[in-house]
Amino acid sequence: MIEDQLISKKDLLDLTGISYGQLYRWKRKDLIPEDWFIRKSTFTGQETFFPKEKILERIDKIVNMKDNLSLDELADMFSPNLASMALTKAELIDRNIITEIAMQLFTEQTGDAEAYSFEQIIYVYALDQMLQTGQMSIEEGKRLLQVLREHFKKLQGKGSELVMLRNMGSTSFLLVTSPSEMYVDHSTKLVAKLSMTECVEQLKVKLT
Amino acid sequence: MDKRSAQNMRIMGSSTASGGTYNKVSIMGDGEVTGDINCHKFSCSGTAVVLGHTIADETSVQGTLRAEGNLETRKLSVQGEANTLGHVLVQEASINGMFNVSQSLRGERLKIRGGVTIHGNCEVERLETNGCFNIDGLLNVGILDAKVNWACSAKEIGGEKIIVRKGNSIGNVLKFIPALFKVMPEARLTADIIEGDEIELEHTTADVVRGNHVRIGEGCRIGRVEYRHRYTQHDSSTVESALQV
Repeated sequence: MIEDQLISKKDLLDLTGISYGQLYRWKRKDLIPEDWFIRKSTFTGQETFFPKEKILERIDKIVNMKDNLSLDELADMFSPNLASMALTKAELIDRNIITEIAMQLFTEQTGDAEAYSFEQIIYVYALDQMLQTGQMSIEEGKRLLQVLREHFKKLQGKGSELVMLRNMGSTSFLLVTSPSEMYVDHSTKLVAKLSMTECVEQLKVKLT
Repeated sequence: MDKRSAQNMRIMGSSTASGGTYNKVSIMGDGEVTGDINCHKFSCSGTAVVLGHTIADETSVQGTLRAEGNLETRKLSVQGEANTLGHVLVQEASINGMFNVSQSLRGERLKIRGGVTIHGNCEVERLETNGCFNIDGLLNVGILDAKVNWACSAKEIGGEKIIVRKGNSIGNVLKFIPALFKVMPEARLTADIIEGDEIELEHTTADVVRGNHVRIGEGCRIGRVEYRHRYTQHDSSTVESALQV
């Protein structure tokens, strides 16, 4: 992994127009993770740096969304932890969060349930996203679900990505932590890539 | 389980109890709780040791408390001495005695009239102090209103509004007695870096101060000031360099 480009605190504030107070406030509210604050010694003493791409994207989101959501609600959204909520099948389909086909595939594997937890919904949501790319067959979708149900919990709290590969007609799914780089041989085709972290974030937005 | 309908725990002599859910827990003698405790009201006027986590709506310590796990409480008041080895999460804390935190403290309001030591970071919306604090990590605070009577310190201070003034309570009155003067620590706040939107400092030593509006009052020793909008400096303070950025 290439080390992310860093930006100093001073440059960050100049670039985004936010103040020291706002930055500290957002950190207190867990909108900016502790491990993005990288302390380094420079000739002017200690300075704090941030991973440039991540922090700029995050601040852009906060600035754009803070009028509609409270800081606490924003914090919940950015946390990679799954939300605690449950919805019924009808609610999920009526609110257009999940299509009926995806839901059906899921219940075939797990059986019908009264309500579905956020964790289960995220699996179906990811399945739905992949089905909608038109690159994946229903049969492959079943295997995708298996991968998620078996392994997604192991990556809890980390950023993760779902990768779909196809080689001479046979398909493989990989669940990897992100950001990561990967390379495949010529005969293997990278069919689709889906950020699970973004799925969690999107789903939280849709459910609130 | 509803805490209010749960039983009370009362230790008056010297005894050991396991953890659990209680309504009121009061330890007046010498008590040890061997597990996690979850209660509505926790009060200790004797000597208490909790080996697990302490979760209480209200916590008051008049005696000595040693909490080996985390302490989570809405309202905390310490008149005696409290030591926590874990993290502290508190809405409103009022410290008149001594409070030592081995890890970090997070909360809404912290009021200090006694002494607080935090070995990790301290993140609060509002900190009012008339007493003494020593923070090994970052003090991240919405509003800091500090009257300094003793030696106070934090590695870094960051926030919206940071106001440090020299206190005028007993500590300074006693300084007129020369014998005591020698053993009294100097009333001064020391930090490596202070960053905020609005900063007013008195009797402060810092390497770097960065802010939108910076006012350096009397008795300061500052290495470098970086300000955005406005800067003033008192004659009795030394500032090695000040530049507008």
